[in-house]
Amino acid sequence: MVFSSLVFLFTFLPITLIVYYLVPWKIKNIILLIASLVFYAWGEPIYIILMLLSITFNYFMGRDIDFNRDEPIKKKRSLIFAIAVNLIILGFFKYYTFFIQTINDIFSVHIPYRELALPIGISFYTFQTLSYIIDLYWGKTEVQKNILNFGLYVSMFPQLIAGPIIKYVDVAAQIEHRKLSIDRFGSGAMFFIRGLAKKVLLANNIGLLHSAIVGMEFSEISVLTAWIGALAYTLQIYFDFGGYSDMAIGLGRMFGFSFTKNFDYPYISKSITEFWRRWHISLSTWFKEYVYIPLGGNKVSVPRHLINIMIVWFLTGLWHGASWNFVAWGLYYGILLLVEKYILGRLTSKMPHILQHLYLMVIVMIGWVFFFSPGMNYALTYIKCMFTIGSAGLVDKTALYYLTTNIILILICLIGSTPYVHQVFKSVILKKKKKHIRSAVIIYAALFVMVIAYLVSATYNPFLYFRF
Amino acid sequence: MENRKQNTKRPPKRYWVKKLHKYISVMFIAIVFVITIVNVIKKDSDMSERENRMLAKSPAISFDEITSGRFMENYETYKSDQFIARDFWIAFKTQLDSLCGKNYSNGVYKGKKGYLIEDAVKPDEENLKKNIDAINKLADNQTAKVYTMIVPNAVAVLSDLLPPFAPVRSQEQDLGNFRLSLSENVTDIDVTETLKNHKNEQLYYHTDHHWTSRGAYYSFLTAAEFLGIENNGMNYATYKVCSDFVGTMASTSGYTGKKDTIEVFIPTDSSVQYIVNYVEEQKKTASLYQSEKLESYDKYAFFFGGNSPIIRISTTASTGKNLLVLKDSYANCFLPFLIPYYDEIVVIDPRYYYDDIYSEITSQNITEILFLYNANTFLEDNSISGIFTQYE
Repeated sequence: MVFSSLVFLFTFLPITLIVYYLVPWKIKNIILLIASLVFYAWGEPIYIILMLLSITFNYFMGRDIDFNRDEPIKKKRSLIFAIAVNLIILGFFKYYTFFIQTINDIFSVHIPYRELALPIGISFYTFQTLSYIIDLYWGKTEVQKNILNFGLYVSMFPQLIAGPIIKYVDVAAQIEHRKLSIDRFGSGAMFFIRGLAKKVLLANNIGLLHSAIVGMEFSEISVLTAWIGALAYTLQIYFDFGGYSDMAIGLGRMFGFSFTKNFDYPYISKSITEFWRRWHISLSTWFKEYVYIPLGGNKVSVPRHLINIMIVWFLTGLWHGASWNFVAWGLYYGILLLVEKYILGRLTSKMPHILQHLYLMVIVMIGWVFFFSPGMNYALTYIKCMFTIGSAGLVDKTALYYLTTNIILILICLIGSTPYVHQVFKSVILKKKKKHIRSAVIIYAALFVMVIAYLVSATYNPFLYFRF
Repeated sequence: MENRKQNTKRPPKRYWVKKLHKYISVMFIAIVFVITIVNVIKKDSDMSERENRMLAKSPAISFDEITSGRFMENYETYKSDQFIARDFWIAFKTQLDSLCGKNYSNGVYKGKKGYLIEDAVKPDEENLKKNIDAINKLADNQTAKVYTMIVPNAVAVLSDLLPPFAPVRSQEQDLGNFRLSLSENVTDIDVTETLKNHKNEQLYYHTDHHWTSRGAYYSFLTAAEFLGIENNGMNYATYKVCSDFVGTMASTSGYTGKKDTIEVFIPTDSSVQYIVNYVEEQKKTASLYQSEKLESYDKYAFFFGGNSPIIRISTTASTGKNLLVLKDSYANCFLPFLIPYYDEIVVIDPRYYYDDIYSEITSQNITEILFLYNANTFLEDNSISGIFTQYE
């Protein structure tokens, strides 16, 4: 199930909220666990078994590591075993096809393979369980002795299928004790509505523009069209993913949890380093804590540091998808970060701010081309369209059409990706007048109503005696 | 940060934020629960007028249906199909889109003057080539004379009414390429200029993809010259048979265009009698029009009741000419103009026709064959060549 669906909003959520708030504290976790399993099974009635196995396995490995806490060798052996099993499961379901294809390509052999459907959220929950196992090994957290509570940590529906990746240490205390209040619920509802609006009103609509452009033949794509397409995707992915994170945070609050933010206005960054401090924060943090720092971080020789960075970014790319263009996307950032750190950084930081933003955004947009392309060839041809004048010229009628019919949406998205909207909103509310509160509630209600209109319309499906 | 000393009399910032959160909670819960409850207690509707289809019913539940995920899919369709005030939400969304400057939806442009204009299709090159080959072969081998008349759509004729910069394919170019590949034994009737000369009149419906009787009338005047019809200034009376026609373009796009009037042209000085034989339906009538269709959703079916695989029209014209028309629905409002000039008109819609076309040509002594299509259907058609190769 996804949050931006009518069944979630008008069946699952109200039932879950009522039951959750009515039952006594003792069984609230069980209710939330059951709701989460239903939520997952709704979209993955078979793969839920895999998730349950993963929960059981990691629960017992956690108990085992804890049991051996005073025996370093045994403890380490358990850790390695646990990490290996988790990665093998993830590897099998996510990378098996890609792996065999690559071998077939390199050695020109034909190993037959079956394409497996990717279990939803496996990348996210595997990283969550790994954080638990590793932190437990490092002694950063206590063992979870209640399997239901552990199951809730792994499967909690607000962040189950698209993050944020929540480290066990950050929620361990909240699983045992948390507070519910109308204040917290309201702030959660605000996050949730904002996230819904970002996803349904902005990301989905700007996504239509992007898919119209990538559906064109390269010979028809003018330079301006190519840039509009790249910009549309840049905005789409931010509002899609950022919106989903906001919804997760909001739902978390409604159920008494507080999750840390996952996006911090990434597109206002002035350098690549800053961009990655603001983009998908929970993932960057995960890689930093569990890969980069254990490899030695930056407290090593320069060549070793280069290698560390490239390993982290190779893995970051691969995590996003089992295909070479994601790896290319990861390595692209690895190389650019190194270039920025060792060579260009001193130069760019002296440029006027506006140029620094421009520099960053061009890099980010080209990066997204790798990300949205179905393969490397497509990506490189698309980038060529952005920088060289092809058969469709610099500006053509198509580009002007897409620009004029989407300009309002593009402007809303651009303004929405800066902190200004929120700042203005806050300063108005803090003027402390009743009517400002009223307008704020009306604005949020209007956003919610618009979201419903788009969700209902998405199923508009006229039957046509068309072409007859 | 505000200055605390100045604000001692007012409640602190946190007080207002708390108040806001409280009202937001009430609003959110009210919307979610009211809609949920109304959806549960409202009676399911059977049918959507706007979408012209049956709405989903509450799905059956069983172990198999759940493990396969079918139940969940069906339940989601059910919930959205039966959502309270479904048509309102859809209309509201279309309004919002228009406010943002969007003017294209589901292959339809929201044009000027209330016209909803269907986009030009991309030709299906492979099938188009097969169809042209079949037409050429027919013209080269048959004694009957072969004509083609591919009517450009509103997107080409009314291009002034498209939104600014609309990136549509050039139908004229696609039709030009088509004409170049025709054999010299085929006579092509090009009505593009004719229609363009009258583009300020209502040649196409505002909300439907068909042309009007008026568009057909002007095209007939041009076609008559090619077909060797002696049309000694036949006079017609026009009648409006319906004035609230909302067609396919409106339902496809969700846009509301200008409601249309359906007109018919009746010759005032023709004494030719005729009988229409719907072969497949085993029905004979003396009328070209089916007024009961004006009460239905598909009002254009007023002309010949829509599309039949084969219709034979026998007349008292005694001109010695027998015509075979291979066609799509654009022909339906054009055929009435042909009736006084042929003894027998056989109308075949290749999309539904599976019999031997050659025996039809022979048995009915066909002297002329006309391919009559609109460009968007013709350029994508995959059925014309089939009816000729099937019985070779």
